[in-house]
Amino acid sequence: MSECSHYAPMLTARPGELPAEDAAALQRHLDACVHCRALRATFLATEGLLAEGLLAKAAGRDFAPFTDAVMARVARRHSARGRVFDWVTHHRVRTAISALVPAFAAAALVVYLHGPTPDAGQGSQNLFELTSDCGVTTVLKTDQGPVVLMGDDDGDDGT
Amino acid sequence: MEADDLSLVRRARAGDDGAFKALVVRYQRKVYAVALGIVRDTDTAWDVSQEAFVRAHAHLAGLEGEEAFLKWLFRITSHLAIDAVRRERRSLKDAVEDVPEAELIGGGEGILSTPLGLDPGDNALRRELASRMTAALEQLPEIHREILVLRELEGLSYEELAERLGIQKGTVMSRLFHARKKMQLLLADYAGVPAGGAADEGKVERSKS
Repeated sequence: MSECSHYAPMLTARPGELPAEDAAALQRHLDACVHCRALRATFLATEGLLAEGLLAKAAGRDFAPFTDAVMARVARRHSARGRVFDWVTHHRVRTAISALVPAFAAAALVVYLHGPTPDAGQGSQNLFELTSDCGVTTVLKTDQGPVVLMGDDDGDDGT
Repeated sequence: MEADDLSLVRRARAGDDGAFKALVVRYQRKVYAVALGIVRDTDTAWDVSQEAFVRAHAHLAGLEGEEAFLKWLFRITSHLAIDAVRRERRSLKDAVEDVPEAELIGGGEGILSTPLGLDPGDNALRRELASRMTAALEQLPEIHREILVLRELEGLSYEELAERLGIQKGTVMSRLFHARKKMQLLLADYAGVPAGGAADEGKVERSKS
């Protein structure tokens, strides 16, 4: 029986599916084993019947609605794709801007992130921006936040 | 003259919906049969089959030049069907009842070859047995339904089954054997032989006329 267990899974192999030596060994076993011959005969006798049965079931249904439903879904996909294409065609400028804005934004971000980092000495000068408010108070914008410089107390307006 | 698949695929790819419709009409029943064999439920099989065609249409560009359309379509279908079964299983948490292995030991060999005959000339008998096999298929565990349908309807080889199911070739062979054996046991009543009873070649009388 252990021999039968070994050969059982090979019983319905198609030609060429087993290595030549296995196929030959199977044949020798079949010649000697009535049990496996009977099992194989059953399997072979019913081969293809399952497909026939399922196809017969399929053949019993009306497939006109099926075809229509598939083609309607395909058409919907077409029309959705077509609407996008039409919009792009009729709004070329908007489309171009829509495409370019994120591209520029991305490029700017890359430049910002990968641009030269100022060293401490030069950076402190470059980052400062001086603005004057009525010539009295000066607000110094620094990278640490705004710094308010009070006006000249002795009335010498800096002239 | 009927256009071949390749020319219809080319025309469909170029936007000819009529060509794609011809492919749908040509293969819808086969696709449905594959789906039905795996999912069992007719409505689910219907939905899976439609989805298979819609996806095929969406990915026609991905169909490699000479690859057979039907084989490709079957692959899409069986993937969708297997997914549907697994989704259903997860949602129902319904463990598939297996046929006890003990039932496989001994008996039943040759029971179907006897009533059917090795040279089946009787179409009515053949149709009846085919119908009973389809019903029996519904009682098989999921993994056995899958492999039988892929083998018998898609005609996949051991290597192709191993690749499709992600298992070893040896596992394919033993799984197929168990599937066939279980099918045979489920059909034992039809053959007029008790599932556990031994039946040697030629000893079982034809029980159906």
